[in-house]
Amino acid sequence: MKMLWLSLFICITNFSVSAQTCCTAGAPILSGITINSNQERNFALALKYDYRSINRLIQNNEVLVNDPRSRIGMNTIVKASMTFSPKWSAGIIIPFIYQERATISERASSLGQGDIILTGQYLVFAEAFSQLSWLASVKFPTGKINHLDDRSIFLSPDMQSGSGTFDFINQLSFAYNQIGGSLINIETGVLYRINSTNENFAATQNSDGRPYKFGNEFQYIISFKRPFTINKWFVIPDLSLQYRMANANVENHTIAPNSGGQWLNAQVGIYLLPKEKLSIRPYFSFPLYQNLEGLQITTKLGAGIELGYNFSLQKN
Amino acid sequence: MNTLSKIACLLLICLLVACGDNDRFGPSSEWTIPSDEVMDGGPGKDGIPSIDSPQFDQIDDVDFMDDEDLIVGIVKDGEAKAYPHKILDWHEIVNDKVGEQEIALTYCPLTGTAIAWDRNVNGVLTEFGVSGKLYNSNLIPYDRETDSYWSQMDLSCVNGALLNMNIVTHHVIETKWQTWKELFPDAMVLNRATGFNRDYSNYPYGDYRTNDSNLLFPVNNDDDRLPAKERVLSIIGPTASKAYSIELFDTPKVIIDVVDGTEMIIIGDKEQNILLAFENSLDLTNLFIAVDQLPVVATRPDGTKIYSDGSIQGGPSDGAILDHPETFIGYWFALGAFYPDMEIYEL
Repeated sequence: MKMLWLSLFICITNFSVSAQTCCTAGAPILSGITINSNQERNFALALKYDYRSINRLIQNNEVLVNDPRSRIGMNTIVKASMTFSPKWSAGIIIPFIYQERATISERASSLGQGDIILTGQYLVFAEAFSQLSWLASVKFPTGKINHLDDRSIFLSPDMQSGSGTFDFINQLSFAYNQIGGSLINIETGVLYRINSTNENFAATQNSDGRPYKFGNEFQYIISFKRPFTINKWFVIPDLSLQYRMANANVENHTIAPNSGGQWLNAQVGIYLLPKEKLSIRPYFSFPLYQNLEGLQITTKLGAGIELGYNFSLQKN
Repeated sequence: MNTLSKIACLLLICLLVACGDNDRFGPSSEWTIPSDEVMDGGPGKDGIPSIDSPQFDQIDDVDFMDDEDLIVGIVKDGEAKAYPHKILDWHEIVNDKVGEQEIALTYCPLTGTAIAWDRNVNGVLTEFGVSGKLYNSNLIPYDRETDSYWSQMDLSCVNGALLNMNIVTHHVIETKWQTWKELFPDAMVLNRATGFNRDYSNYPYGDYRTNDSNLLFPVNNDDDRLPAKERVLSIIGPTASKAYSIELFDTPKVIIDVVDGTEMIIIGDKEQNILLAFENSLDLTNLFIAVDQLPVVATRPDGTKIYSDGSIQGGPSDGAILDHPETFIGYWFALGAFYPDMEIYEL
């Protein structure tokens, strides 16, 4: 029974490499989108804390030193999902975002609810060892976008908790379990995010603000997992690789010169399953390769922990 | 008074002093410009690091400049220093001393404006840093003594303890490297040992300099009388201002004109990429362009030679120095935004 549950658990765990570079406005919460179980009337709750040290200054692919800036991002993501039928499921993601920008003479921060994401998933097929899922999400402009500094000036768009836009995320993922009869499981998928333009960022009663758009992005993710039993505990170490390509942001209808680029990130984590319905996953992530447009400050290290609780509403 | 009372009094005094300091130098929400038009550029305060210990080379030792590269030059007390745009693009402010004058060379890559500010502000020597804020796409420096924010092109304090105070400026000469070498062959040149490793050969804003439709931040007055990125010499008078486009000088020439009641001499050459303005306090007439005789920029038949710093040799005014009006070069879109009533000189 436990092995069956373990198999199910592996199926429902998500791609967990985060996408954040320097901004929130939705980017880090992509990692919260989950491929759900195909077990009918399954309900899942997850709580994730993610910390990012964003203090690597890069020009193209060269790391520069003597940068007076540093940034951190701390995100708490609450997620709930429900499987309604063997084919269909849906979920909601609610992020809370803290960002801090520090220089030698200033420390500015913002804390607030980010944009809420609603997701719907269709299980294209599920066989004994494999499954293909399609997931579509809409990000709603519910996040806080009026954070001010200590002189009552709007913080820049990448320091706001939300983007003020409807964005659309399409994701296709394929999972294959027990490759070659081993206990190794592989998940791979692609994701494309289409962002819209906030035409009135920083608008006030006296000002129409200005247009701002975060660049669209593409991701390819591959993840490996293998379960072990240690002293009657199930543990599942995982390794994920994420390739991310983001277009430049568009500011005032002009391509922002120091934005966009390519990232290759790795994430190492381990699922601890102390109880049948409960999972705990600490992880850390780090960049393997970054080739960015112009000069950008980007993530140097990330770490976090996820708590998952999963149960069925079906009567036995 | 017992010991406890003394301690209480001391604490009270400390508290009052602390409160006073906060009131004086702490962040303020009061702006002389519309605060909702002030933009956070993203890097944060000092996120673009000013150069506070500039290092210089002799012209002959400089190997990173091309002849067409722009520099900003300052001449004071017989000392000439050049600050390449290539370095200014990454730092925006250089706190320095030229001759006996403590100056901060402020430069905004987005408006193309270079203005030298006096670092003695309100009787106190200060440094300026990059606040990370922009108004009409233009740099807002802050002074490190009072943490007041200033508008570079408005030339005044717009937020903080020194609110409404005007800044004292010093004249700069903005031209291309080849021309500067002929004007001041003994000048010192800011080098790349800035304390920061940046790729100074790489312009960080893409096609911004030449693309008229590329404005990263909106301005509060779209003035399309000239192309947005046309380089224009502005003369700012107390009650009126005037613009002289570099395109006027596709053939080198001297223009005598009146701005805000004062007669001016404007000398320019698009080929040499130089635009200069002087107050014609000596009532000089019959001036001829002489940029083919650099460092002389203009001459008169009576033997008068005018140099780029306004000094005169030969002729009846030998030894005199022409004063400079309040003047700087910038992209037209920014001048039109800051000075909506600015007149444009036409031939």
